Amino acid sequence: MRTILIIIQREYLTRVRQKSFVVTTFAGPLALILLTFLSLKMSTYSGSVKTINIIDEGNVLHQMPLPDKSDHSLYFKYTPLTAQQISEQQATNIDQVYLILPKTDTLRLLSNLELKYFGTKQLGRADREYVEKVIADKLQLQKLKVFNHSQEEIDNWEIKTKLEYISTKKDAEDTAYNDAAAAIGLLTGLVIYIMLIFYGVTIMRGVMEEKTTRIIEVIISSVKPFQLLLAKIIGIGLVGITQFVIWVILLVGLNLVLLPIIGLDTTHMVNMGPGAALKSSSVDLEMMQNMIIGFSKINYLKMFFTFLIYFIGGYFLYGSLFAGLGATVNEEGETQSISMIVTIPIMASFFISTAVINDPSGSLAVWASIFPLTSPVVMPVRMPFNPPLYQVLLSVFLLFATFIGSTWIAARVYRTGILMYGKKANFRDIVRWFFYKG
Amino acid sequence: MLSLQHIVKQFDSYKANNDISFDVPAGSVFGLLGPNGAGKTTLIRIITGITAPDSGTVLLDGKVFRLENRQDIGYMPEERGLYKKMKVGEQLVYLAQLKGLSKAESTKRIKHWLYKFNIESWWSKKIDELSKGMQQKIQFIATVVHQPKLVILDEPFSGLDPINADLIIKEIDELKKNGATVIFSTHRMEQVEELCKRIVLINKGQNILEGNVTELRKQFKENQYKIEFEGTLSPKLIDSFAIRQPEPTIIEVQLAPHQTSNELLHALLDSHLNIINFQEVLPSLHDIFVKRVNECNVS
Repeated sequence: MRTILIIIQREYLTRVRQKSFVVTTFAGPLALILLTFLSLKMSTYSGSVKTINIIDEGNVLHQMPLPDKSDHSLYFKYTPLTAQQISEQQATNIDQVYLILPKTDTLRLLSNLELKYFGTKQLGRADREYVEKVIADKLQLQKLKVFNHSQEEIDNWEIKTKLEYISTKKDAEDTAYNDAAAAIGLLTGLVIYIMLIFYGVTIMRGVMEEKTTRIIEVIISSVKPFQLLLAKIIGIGLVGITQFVIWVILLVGLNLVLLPIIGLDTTHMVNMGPGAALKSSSVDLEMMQNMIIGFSKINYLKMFFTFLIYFIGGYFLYGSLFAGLGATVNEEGETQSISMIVTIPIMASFFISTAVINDPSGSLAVWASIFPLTSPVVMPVRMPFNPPLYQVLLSVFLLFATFIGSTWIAARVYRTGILMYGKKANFRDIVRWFFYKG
Repeated sequence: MLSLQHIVKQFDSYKANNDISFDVPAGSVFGLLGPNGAGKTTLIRIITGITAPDSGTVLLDGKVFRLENRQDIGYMPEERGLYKKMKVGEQLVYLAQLKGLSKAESTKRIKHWLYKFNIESWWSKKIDELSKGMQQKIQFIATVVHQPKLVILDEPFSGLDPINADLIIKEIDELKKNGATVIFSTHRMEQVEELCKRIVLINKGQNILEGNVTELRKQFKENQYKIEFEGTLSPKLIDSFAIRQPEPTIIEVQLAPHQTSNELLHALLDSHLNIINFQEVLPSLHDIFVKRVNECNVS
C-alpha cells in the first residue's frame, strides 16, 4: 500500500508541476465554453419521428401543406381539436405534440408570434428551430397575400415565431431549462470526453516511457506490475480530478464576479420569473435572462457527482485499456495508430451526445447511456433531463463491472507487454501474453 | 544465500530456462554467464521476482522467495532505465522509497553516495542532461542505496570509462566486504576472472557449467606450459615435444597425454637452457566459455 501511495504521489506531482497542466487548467474553461457553443450550433440530429399536430385556431394557414423535415424525422398534421380540448386533456398526460397557432386578426402587422405546444416530451433544439422557421415562413407567405405596402407593414415585415413548451407532465421544465440542461449536459459530456482521451493518452505515454527507457524493470523489481498500473492510473486520474475541481471553482468564480459586472443578477431574475424577461425591451437581454434562469434551475450538485462517477468509471475503463496498449508498443510512432482502437469509441460517444441533446429520451440516448463504452460521455449529457433512475443505476453498474473486467484484462497484458522488446506486437501476441504466467 | 532449483520458464514452445539449478554462496561475487539469448535475463527476472517461473523454486536464505523479499534485492538491468525528465535527487529518493526506505533516510543515504562519487552538484540535474556514463553511476546508486543482501548487476561496466569502471569495481568489492552477495552478468570474461569466485554458464536455457573459477580453469587445462629461457633450443628437444615459439626467449609446449611436466623440465635442463620462468598455461574463462558453448551447440 505504501509503495502504491509513493507511485501515486510521483505520478501526480510530476504532472501537476508541468507548465502544460497550468496552461490547460486555466485556458480550459474558455475553450470548453466555446466548444460547447459550437456543438450546440452544429447539433442537428432529431432522433425518433415526431408528428406535430397543428391547431390553427384562426385558420391563418388555411390548411396549407407544411414541409416535412428533410430527414423525415418530423412532419406536420392539421387537427380538428381545439386548444380548449387539449388543455382539458393535459391532466391525462397526452402523448402527442400539439402546436397551437393563436388567432391573429392583424396578420398584416404581425411580427412576433408565440406558439404554444403541448406534449410529454420536449422538442430538441434542432426540431424546435425547424418548426419555428416553417411556421414563420408560411405565415409570411400568408401575410404577403394581404400586404398593402404601408410603412408600418414594411417595418414589421419579418415574422419571428417562438415556441413555448407547455409540458403535459406535471414535473416538466420550461424551455429555458431545457436549453440550459442541454448546454450543461453537453458541457459535462464534452469535459469527460476530452479528459478521457487526454488522460488516457497520458497513461499510455507514461507506460511507454517506462518501457522504452527500461526503468520498468527497476520499478517492477520493487512493486508488482498491477500495483504500478493501478497507482499510475490513480495518480493521473487525480490530476484530472484536480483539474476539474479547479475548473468548477473558476466557473463559479466567473459566475459570481462577471455576472454582476455585466449587470445581471441571477437571484433577482429567478425571483422575477420568466415572465419578467418578456417585459424587457431588449431581445438579447431577454434571451440572456431566460438562459440564466434556465441555468439557475440546474442541479449542479447532481451534475458534480455525475461527473465524478462517470469520469472515474470511464477513466478506469479506458485508462486501463490505454495502459494495456501502451505496454504493447516499442516506440512513439506506434502509439498513434494503436491508440485509435480506444479513442474511436470515445469519439463516437461524443458524436452520439450531440444527437442525444436533441432527443434525450430517444432509444439512441437510452442505449448509448447504458452501454459501458459510451455511457461515461452520454449519460452525463442526459442527466440534466432526469432520466429514469433504473437506467442510471443500470448504467453505473455496467460501467463499473466493465472497468473491473477491463482493468483485469489490461493488467495481464501489461505485466507481460512491458517486458517485451523489439518485435511489434500483433493481436495474437497480445492474446498470448494474456495467458502467460506472471 | 540464493538457491535456484529446477527453474523452468517457457514462452510458447521456446524454453528460456530449462531446468536450471545452481547455488550462490553468501557474500560471494558470482558470475552468471552465457551467450546472447541464453536465458540469463529471464533467469534474472525470475530471481528478482519480476516474472514467475513455470516450475521450480527460488530460495533466499533457505526460504522460498516471496515478493516481500524484493526489498532485499538490488537490480541493475543491462538496459539502463531512468526517468529522463526527473531530477537526479528526486528520482533516487523515489526509487529508494520503493525499496522501503523512508524519505528522510533515502535523502540522507543518497547525499552520502553523491558525495562519495563526488557528484553532489548533480542533485538538481535532470537525467537527460547527463552522459551515459554519468547515468550509469546514478543507476548504480539506485541499485545499492537500500543496502540489499543480494545485488544483481547486468553488464555494469558498459559505457563506463576505465576510471569509472574502477570506481564501480571498488564499490562491488566494498559491497562484498559488507556481506552482500553479488551476481554479476557480463560478456567480459576478464572482469569475471578478476571479480568472481564462482560462475555458472547458461546456454540455450540450460546450465552447462558451474563451479569455482580457479577449479574450472584447472579442470579445462590442456597440458600446456609456457617457458621463458635463455640459451638455444636443442634439436632433440624440438623433436620430443610439440613446441611453439612466439618469441625468441619464450616457448609454449603442448604435452602429449603420456608426457608429464617433470619430463619436460628434465629435458629443458638437459638441453642446458637457463630457465627463467616455467608455468602451466591454464585456459582463460573466455576459452572455456567458447569451448563449452561450442560443444553444446554441436551436440
